[in-house]
Amino acid sequence: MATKLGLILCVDDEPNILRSLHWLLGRRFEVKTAESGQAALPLVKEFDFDVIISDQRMPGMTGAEFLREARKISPRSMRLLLTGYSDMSAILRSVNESEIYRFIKKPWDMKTLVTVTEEACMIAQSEPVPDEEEKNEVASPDGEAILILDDDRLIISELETAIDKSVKIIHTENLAEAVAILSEQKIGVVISNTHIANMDVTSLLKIIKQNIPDLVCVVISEKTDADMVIDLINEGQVYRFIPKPLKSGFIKLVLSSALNKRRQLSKDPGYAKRHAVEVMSAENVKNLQDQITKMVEKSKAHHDAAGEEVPFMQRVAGGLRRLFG
Amino acid sequence: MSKSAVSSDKKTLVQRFHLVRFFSIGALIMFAVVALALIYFENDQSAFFGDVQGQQNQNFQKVQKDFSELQESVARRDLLAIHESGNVNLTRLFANALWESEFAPFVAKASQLPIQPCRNLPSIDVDGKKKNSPEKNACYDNLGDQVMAIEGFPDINDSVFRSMKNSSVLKIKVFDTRGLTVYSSDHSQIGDDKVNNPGWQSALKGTPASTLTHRGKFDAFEGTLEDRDVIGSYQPVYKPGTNTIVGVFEVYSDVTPFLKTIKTTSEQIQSVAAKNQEQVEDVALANQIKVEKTSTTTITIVLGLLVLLFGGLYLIVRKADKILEEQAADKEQAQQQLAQAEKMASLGQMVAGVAHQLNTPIAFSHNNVSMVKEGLEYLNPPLKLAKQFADLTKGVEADKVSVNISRSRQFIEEVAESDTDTGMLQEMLSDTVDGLDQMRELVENLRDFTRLDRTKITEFDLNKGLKNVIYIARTVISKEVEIIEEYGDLPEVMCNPSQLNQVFLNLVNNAAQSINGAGTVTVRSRVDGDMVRIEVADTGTGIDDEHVNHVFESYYTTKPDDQGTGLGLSIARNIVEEYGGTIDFDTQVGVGTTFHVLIPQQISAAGQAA
Repeated sequence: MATKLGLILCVDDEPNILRSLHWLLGRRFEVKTAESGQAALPLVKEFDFDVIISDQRMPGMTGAEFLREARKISPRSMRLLLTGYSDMSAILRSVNESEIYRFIKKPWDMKTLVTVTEEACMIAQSEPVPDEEEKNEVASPDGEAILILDDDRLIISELETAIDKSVKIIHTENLAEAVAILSEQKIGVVISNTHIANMDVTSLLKIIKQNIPDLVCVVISEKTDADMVIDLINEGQVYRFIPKPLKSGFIKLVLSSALNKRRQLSKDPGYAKRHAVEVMSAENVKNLQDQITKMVEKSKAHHDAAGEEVPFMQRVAGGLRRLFG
Repeated sequence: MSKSAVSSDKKTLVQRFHLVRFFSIGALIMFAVVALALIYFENDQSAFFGDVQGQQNQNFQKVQKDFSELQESVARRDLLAIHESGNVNLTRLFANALWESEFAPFVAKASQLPIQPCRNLPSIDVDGKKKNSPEKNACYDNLGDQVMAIEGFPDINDSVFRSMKNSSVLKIKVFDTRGLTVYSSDHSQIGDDKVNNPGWQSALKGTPASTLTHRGKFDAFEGTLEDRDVIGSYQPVYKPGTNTIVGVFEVYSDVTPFLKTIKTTSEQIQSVAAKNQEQVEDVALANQIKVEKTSTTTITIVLGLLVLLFGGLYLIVRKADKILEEQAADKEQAQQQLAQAEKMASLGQMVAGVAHQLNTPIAFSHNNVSMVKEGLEYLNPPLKLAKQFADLTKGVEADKVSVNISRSRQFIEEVAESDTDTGMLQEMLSDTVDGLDQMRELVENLRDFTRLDRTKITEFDLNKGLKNVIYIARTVISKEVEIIEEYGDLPEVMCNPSQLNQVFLNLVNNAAQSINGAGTVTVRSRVDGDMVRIEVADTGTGIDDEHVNHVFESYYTTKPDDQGTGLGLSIARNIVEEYGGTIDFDTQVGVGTTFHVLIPQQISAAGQAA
């Protein structure tokens, strides 16, 4: 028998599913199973799991809740959440604290599940978690700026009051402008709305994260569209979601946690692997590129009129190169 | 501890308000009353006008009569006054001409005649009136004879007749101061006693007195006259040059022609008055007719207007009624559409739940089958080997065969222990069969739940329905909610299972949704008298007082817009009541709610028709 790649915990209230997962993953990994979150937590304490896979919909404790608790006990374990069709509404509530590596939709694709699990296992083993020194201060390392991408004045002013004066804030409502800023400035954290002027920003966020893995993304979302959340996590590894209406205490907490994460990422570039994203399909990248190019051209006229020193196209071209190569 | 129980009111069948009918009857009655009142008042007014006219006629008549009477009496008074003053002058003339020379000595003589003896004779009563007895009259006649026997009487008589001839004077008399008639141009009256005559008494005191009388027969100077109006005046006779009354003079003058003129005038006035009266009455009658005609016209016009008004109002009301009817129809249609939407919403929820429920067996079955498929590939080399071995043994008859395995050694080494573990493959497949069973169970439950393939009304085991409903409900409700089933023995009930399933699913879903986090929903059934009682109890939040009275109202919901139409319980109640059953609940905030559904074992005809 070949040596096992790692230790895995599967949690689901359906024994059939557990057996099935066991059969699937058992060839390569050592697999332990539990039929509920409560039953799984002692196992998390007892064993040092590389990967924890949990179903979301379980009696007593939801998967996201269980993963949140598991993260506290064993931060180095990579967390995967299995979700069915109608479990989505409760996801936003617990997704922030769980810091899930991937959502896996049921029924899963056999090969994908195995690949993701292997990937997660490798990351867990190769990239140790830095000691979490949670600092409740809103300060940015090395004078990095926070980029705010939103067109809601109210939100911007609320964010500005929540962030320390010492931290540099750059604000834009223009996606092309944002691309330029990302190439020109040292940006550690991006805070963005999901939509700006009815335009979907999420694809841009995903592509930014793919190309700049040590960037921390925070998304302000109005609607709890579960599919969008899942995509943003799987493909964009969005670090935190801030639901509307905003609560200033919560914003502070999220920001300090985001800056903390940014510090950890900047200290240890390998750590970013723990937040690696699903690679976007070439088609999606092409679409996004077209979209951004269009936007750039649209705002070009505006910037030319303003008569800026550095030609706008030149600035944006740098950003585009960084994003799309 | 507040515990409130609310029973659903018996569904009252709302009668449609018959607007047009009620309006027609009501308005007709009111209009008739108005018309009658109008006719009454118009008649009253014309009667009043008639009365006023009659009164005016009477007044006018009275005024005219008074006026003509006054005119006549004034004319008579004037006649009397004129004649009296004429007589005064005549008497003065007479006194001056006849008294000193002829009457004074004659009266002096006559006054010597004793009158007292006659006066002392008794009077007799005739019909209550004192009258002179024949003896007394005879006494006075005798006294008259004595007077006429006085010397100079014929001369005096002659003088009188002479001077009075051809005048309007008909008769003269002379009385002494005792009242004895000492002279009369009618000789038979000489000797009469006038002591009790008021005219004589007045004249003796110096005041002349006159009376106007009508005489059928009158003895005048010229002879006896008939049918005369006569004024008689008593005048005092003064001794010339003194204020001493020495006698009384009576003059009768004929005013028949004057009075005739007065009467003629009066008659003329009266005839004019009568004509006037007639004219006034004619005008009054004409006015009355006019007024009555006007009144009739007014009534006709107003009645016409009332009819027109009624017609107009009737048209408006009918139009309004039509609009109301259309609105009611629209509302009903909207309600039906909403009820349909509610059904679709719960169906959508159910589909989502079922889809999710299918996910689990699909997930592991798919995984298992894929793995078995892979596993079968691993079985390929050992099976090939086995086949080769089999072929080999078939070709030889000897029990022992030597095989050269140098060529297959590598091949055989590839056969791992795990690859031949068909037991694991069997387990995978048997789990897959489990998964298929789960899917089949779900499909069967779905079919039972909707009962699309069954007749609408059928003998139905409610417990079976409840199990079915709970199975479906579990697909959507949180796994933290435990559902406890406590079923009693129930007889089969004639009903439409799909309708009742809808009711129970709604109750179970509501119960589960009222629970935040963990909790239990308990579904019980038992026989209660001639009813079947089904209870759905939850350990949820309970229903706030402000909502308690609205639970069964259509469109009343506490859920967000996209999660509830507010029709679920309203429809549930309609269904239960159609079966002649009841639905109610008791609730306690923070403790939970229990819904009680009672359905008759023998359902009503209405339910069967449903």
